[in-house]
Amino acid sequence: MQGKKILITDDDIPFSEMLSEILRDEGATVLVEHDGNAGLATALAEKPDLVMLDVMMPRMSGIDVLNKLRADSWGANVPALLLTNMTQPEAAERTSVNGPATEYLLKTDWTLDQIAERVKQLLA
Amino acid sequence: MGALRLFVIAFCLVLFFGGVFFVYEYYVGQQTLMRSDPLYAAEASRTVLNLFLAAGLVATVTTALLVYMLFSTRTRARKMAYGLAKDLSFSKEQFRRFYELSPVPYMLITPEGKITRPNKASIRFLGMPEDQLTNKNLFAFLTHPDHPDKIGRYRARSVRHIPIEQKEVQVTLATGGTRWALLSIEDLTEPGQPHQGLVTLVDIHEQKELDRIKTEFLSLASHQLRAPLSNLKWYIDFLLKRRANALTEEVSGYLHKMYRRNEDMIDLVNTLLNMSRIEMGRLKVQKEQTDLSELAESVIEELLPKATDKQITLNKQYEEAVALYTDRRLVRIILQNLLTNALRYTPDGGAVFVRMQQTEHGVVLEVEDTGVGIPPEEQSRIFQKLYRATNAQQIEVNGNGIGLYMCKALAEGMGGSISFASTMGKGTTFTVDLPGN
Repeated sequence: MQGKKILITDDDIPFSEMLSEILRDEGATVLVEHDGNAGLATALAEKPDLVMLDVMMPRMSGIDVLNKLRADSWGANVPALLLTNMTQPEAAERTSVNGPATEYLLKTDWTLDQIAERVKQLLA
Repeated sequence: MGALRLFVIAFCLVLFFGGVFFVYEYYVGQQTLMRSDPLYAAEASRTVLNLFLAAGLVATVTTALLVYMLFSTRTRARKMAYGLAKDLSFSKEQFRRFYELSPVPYMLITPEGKITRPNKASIRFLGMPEDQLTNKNLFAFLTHPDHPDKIGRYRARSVRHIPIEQKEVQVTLATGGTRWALLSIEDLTEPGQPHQGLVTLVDIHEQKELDRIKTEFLSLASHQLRAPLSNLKWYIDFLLKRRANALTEEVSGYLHKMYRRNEDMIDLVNTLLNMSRIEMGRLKVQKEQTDLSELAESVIEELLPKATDKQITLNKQYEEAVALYTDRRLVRIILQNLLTNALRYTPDGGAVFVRMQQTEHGVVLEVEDTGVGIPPEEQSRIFQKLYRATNAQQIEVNGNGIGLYMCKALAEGMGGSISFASTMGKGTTFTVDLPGN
């Protein structure tokens, strides 16, 4: 992951910290935001190689951030990982969640190392 | 009654023609005798006369009987026709009242959808007086938030007189609000009359609302229950993998135990959520090309520690590349449950077999154990929710009675089936039939 830029947007601060430590150890540059608005702004300004989004976040949900990203010419193709505790909501099925370059992962199904591994695969 | 009458008529006819034939034969015989003996002739002619009289009597009686029977049949038919006509005129009035006063909104429409006869309930439902409703187009009142194109399709079907059965639509009311209803249109055209359809709108708004609230509650509950569990999972994982140097052997031992208990809790939450989803009819089947051997491999790997603990041999009996177009996650849940059960109810040192066989229509998956077996008298209840066989309860106190219930619901949800064969003390084989499309 040398030289890759990853954005983590999650209001769960300890989670963001643990995950960024693991990804930094792998050589990636990690940006962290804790709400949807800030996440979207940073994504559009920094154009990371991969965006990780929580679904339930203050100010703007991860689904809304993703829809706004997909409407952007750069954001349309950036790989996105939706990481959440919520079963995929029905409303999300009609959005870009099922579109290309998007994955919906249940947090309880994955360990931190498995997530890092998945990120590595998506960036390869 | 008809059969009896036919029998009587036939009997009369036989009697009549039999009598005539008998008299004729007798007469011919007598004539021959009389010609040869004049003395006998005088005596005989009186007998012949008597016989003719008797035959005449029989003929009259049978004819009278026949005439009576024919006549009575006609009268009865006429009476029945009269009664029927009376009944019909009665039910026509009844039908009009039934249509008008039914609590279900009814209306008649032309093939194009123009409303002609809204009943009281539809006037109430749409909140519009009859004169305003008449001649309006029904389809202008209908919408569908998720599939707007559906209304146009129903309209096209109505024009071609194709019936529409219980389709969910949103009805726009006079107040501007909307309500969910089930729309049906039946062809009600009478011979020689212009086409008309009978529309029913069954109000299902409350059900839809409750459904929506339940779904929202479920997503929220699933989030709230999982959030602390996934946090715990990662904290422990992080400590064990990233801070291993700072941990004593005792601490890391406890952390491992905590991690496993937390995983059990995650499993339980997922099981409960899956079950509520099944019960609400919200089970989503998402099929994709799936490498079943790889899937089985990962489930087996996961459960290997349990097998090793009990010195149970886990035997894989399948080809290397068993593939199927199916829902990976659901098959995984089924296999996980069947294998967990097999290991749980097989005594130490036993054996468990996993088999998969590609068939013409899909894949047959089998899990066989050398376990305690299911008591024959309880076998019919084994797929019931929360049911646990009595011998299973003695072996494992912590079962929840959901596993097999869920396996069955999931297998059937994917269009497949599940069955088993079991012998007490010998073992049980569960067979899952999974279709490939």
